[in-house]
Amino acid sequence: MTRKILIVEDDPSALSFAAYALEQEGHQVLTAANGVEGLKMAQEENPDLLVLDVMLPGMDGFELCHRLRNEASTAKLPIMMLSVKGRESDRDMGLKVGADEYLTKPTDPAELVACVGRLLESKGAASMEGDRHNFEYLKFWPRDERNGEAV
Amino acid sequence: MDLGVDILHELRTPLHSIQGFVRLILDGKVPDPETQRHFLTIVERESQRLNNLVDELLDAFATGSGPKAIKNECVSMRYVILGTILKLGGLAAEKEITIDSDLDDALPAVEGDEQALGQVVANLLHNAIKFSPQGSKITVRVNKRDSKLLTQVTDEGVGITREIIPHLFEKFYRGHSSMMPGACGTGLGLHICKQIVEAHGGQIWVESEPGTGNTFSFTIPLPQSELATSGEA
Repeated sequence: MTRKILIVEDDPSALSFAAYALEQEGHQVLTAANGVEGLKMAQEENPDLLVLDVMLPGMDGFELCHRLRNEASTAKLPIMMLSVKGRESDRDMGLKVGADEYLTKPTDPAELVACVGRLLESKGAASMEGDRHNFEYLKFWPRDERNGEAV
Repeated sequence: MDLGVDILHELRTPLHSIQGFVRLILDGKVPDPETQRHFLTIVERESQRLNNLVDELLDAFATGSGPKAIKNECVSMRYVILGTILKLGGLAAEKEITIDSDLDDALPAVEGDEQALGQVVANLLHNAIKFSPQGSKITVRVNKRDSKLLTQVTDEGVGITREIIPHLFEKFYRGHSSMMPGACGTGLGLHICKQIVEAHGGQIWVESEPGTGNTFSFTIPLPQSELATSGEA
């Protein structure tokens, strides 16, 4: 299912890598190159998820995340931080300001895509509790069958 | 100064793109040959950037202490500059760039950290070489101006746009890699220069004329003893 994903990243190469990986999954990707632009787009474009770099010119990712969490319209927006800052204290800071996930660069594209998928899924589940049960059932049942030795 | 950890983090920025694009290609996620080629060009550019980062790191930490401790030595800028020109001569020769120096034999010494000031001169010269066209000229001048020693590095590069100038000395400011492919570093070099110069009580700035070149200048205050001597002269 196509979702609208906003990527806030100042490094052009990292931006095109993340954009390509997520577009390959069928998502619509919007991009912003700094915190101020990212904040504006997050408020105006109503994305389904935000992929957020931390070290940005001007307003950094921590501050942007904190601001989004303090506004009603973006308080529940799924936010995934992606940063070169990989210490435990950096991760703690990311989660403290309200990120749902914190990944350290370099990030494998499969990991990026899987993490986005997980977050989108849990957002859908939060709004439709019933669907979540169905989805989990479907997810586990065929896998057991495939892996079973009798098959 | 807050150097060590941040600059090491920055090594991951180009690595992230290199590993990401290579993984996408190896996983068969990039079937279009044109797109594949485009991504490999980015990988090549990011590898070059990683190499530049390592060069900057080596510059910053080569002699161990880095710029953290500012010593108080008697420093001859003439000696510092000639030494740096010798060190970077090979790099300049690769692009057939000549480095001229205009240094008075009788320049007064300043008080400061010889290694840190050498790092400032090396950084400015390194940038000048990086952004100068093949076969151009770089000039290093040192003059006494009022109560300060003024060092200037002038190149014949493309010039810096007006919008970028106020950000040049900011931490992590890298310009745009699309403008200077392969030439972007950590965005720390000029920031470190500014910190070193300011720790010596001086100032650093740039003047740029698009199309004709740039002049990076910094001042270091002269010691009281020098001021007294020149007053008598």
